[in-house]
Amino acid sequence: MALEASADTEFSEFMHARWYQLVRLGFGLTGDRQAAEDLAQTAFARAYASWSRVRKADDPDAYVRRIVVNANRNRFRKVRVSELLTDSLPELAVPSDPASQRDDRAVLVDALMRLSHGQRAAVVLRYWLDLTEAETAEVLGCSIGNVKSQAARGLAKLRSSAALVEGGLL
Amino acid sequence: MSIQEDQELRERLDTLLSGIEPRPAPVALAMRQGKGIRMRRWGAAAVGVVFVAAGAVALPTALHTPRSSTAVNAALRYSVTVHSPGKNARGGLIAYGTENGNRWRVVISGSGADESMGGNTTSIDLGSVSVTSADPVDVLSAGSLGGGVTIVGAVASDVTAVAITLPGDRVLTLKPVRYSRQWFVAVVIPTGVPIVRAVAYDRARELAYSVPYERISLVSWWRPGQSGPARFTATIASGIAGGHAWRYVTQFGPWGYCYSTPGGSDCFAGTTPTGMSAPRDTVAMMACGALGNGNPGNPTSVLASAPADVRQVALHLSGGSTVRVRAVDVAGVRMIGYILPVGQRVLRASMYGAAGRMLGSTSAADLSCAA
Repeated sequence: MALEASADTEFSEFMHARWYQLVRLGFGLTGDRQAAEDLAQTAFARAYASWSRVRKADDPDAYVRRIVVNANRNRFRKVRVSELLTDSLPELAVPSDPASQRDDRAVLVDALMRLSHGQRAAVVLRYWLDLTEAETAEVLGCSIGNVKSQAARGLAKLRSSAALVEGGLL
Repeated sequence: MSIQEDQELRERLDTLLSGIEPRPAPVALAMRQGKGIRMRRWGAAAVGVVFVAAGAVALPTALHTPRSSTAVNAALRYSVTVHSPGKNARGGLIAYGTENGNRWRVVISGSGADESMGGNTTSIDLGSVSVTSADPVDVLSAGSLGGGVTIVGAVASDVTAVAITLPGDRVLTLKPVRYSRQWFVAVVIPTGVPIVRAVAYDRARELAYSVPYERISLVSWWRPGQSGPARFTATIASGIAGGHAWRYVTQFGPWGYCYSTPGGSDCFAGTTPTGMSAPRDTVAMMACGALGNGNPGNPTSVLASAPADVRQVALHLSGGSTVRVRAVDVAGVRMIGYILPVGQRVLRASMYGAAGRMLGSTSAADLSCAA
C-alpha cells in the first residue's frame, strides 16, 4: 500500500543514513563492535515500531541516540559483574586495520570503559559524534550544565590515564 | 578547554576510533523486530494480535449492500450491524453499528494516543498503529478493548469491499473509508463469535481471502486459487518454571504461520515461513514475556529463531550458568524456547550444528527480553 510503502522506504533511508553513526556511538559506549551493532539494531527496531511517531518528532536522530544510550545503560547495570567474568575478549580488529592504530584504539577504548556511564556518554557524544552541548543534553535527558561537568570530568580522567599519556594519544 | 584543544581532541578520537566497519545496516531485520515490538505492545494492551496479510475468493450478494450490513444468527444468539459514514471519514469515523444491541464506533486519529476505548467508541491512533503491509488488506488490530472484538484494517485503494463471513453464513460487508489518504475498514463483533472467512473485493472481482487464526485473527491473505500452508503443529519447548507452566507451540495452517506463547499468540506476517528464520550467525528473539501474566517477579520465557543449520544453542547467562536448548525444525525454520531466571539475562549465545560442531556465537542484547 502506498502509505506503508512510503513509510518503509522512509525508514529504510533513515536507517541506512544513520547506521554507521549509531554503531560508532554504540562502540564508543561499549568498546565492542558486536554489542554496538546490537544496540544500534535495537534502537532502529524500536524506532520502526513507533515510526509514524518518530518520523514526526522534532529530532528523530536524538530519539534513536537516546535509545542506544539508555539501552546501554540498562545493559551495563545488569551485566557489569558478569562482564568481568567473561573469558573471551570482544573482537575489535578489522582486517584492514593497521596494527598500531588497533593497539592505540584498544588503549583508548580501555580508558573510555573506565569512565562512568554518564561521563563516557558525554565524551563520546560531544567529542566523537560532534554533538553540541544542547544536543548532548537532549540525548542524555539532562541539563547542559550536567553535560559540561560530565564531559569535563570524563576528559580529565582520560587525560590522567597513564596509558594514554605514555602513548601520546591524548 | 580551548577551542583548539577541543578540535584536536575530536580529531584524535576520530582517528583512533575510525576503522570501525560495521556490517551493512540490517534494515529488514530491524523492521521485523519492530513489527514484533508492535505486536507485543498490542498484545499487552488487549486480548488479541496485530496482523499483516495477502490473497482471494467469491462475491456474496451482501456486497451489493451500499453502506450498511447486518448479521443476525438466532442459533448463536448474536447480532451485528455495521454502517459506513461514506467515502470519507468525518472526524476520523471509519464505521459504526451495533453488536448484540450495543452501539459501537471506530475512530481513527493521529493524536498520538494509543488504542483506547471510551464509552462506545474505539479509537485507533495511526501514531502507534501504522500501515505495514503491501497486501490488499492489512489488519492493523484485532482485539478486545471493551465489549466486543474490534477489527480495524487498512486496505489498498483498489479494494472496494471486504466481506466478513460469520457463523450461519451471515456476511458483513465493510466499505472502505478514506482518512488521511489511506483507506480503512472496521467492525466490532460480539466476543465469542468467530470469523469464518474474510474476502477482499475489487467490485465483483475477488482479490484475496483470509482464514482466521484463533477465531478472529486475519493473519495471511491468499490470492484466488492459492491455499495457505498445510496444517502443522509442533511444540518448540515447554516446562514449568517458578510454578508456572509454559509452552511454545507453532501452529501453521490456512491462517498462516502462527505460534502460541504463554502470554498469548503471535503470527508471522508472510506467505512463507522462511522470513521467520534468523539471519546468518544470529539468534533472533521472536517473543518473550514474564510468566504469570507478565509479573516481573516471575521467570521470563523467550522464543527465538536460529539459522537453519543450527541444532543446539548454548545460552550463557549472567548468573554464570549455561543453558543448552535444542533448536527444533519447524518447516525449515529452527526455533528455540527457553526460560530466564528472575534477574538474569543472556550474555552470549553459542550455536552448534550437526555433530556438535560450533558454528559461531553472538552477543545477545536482544535475547533477554529487556527491550
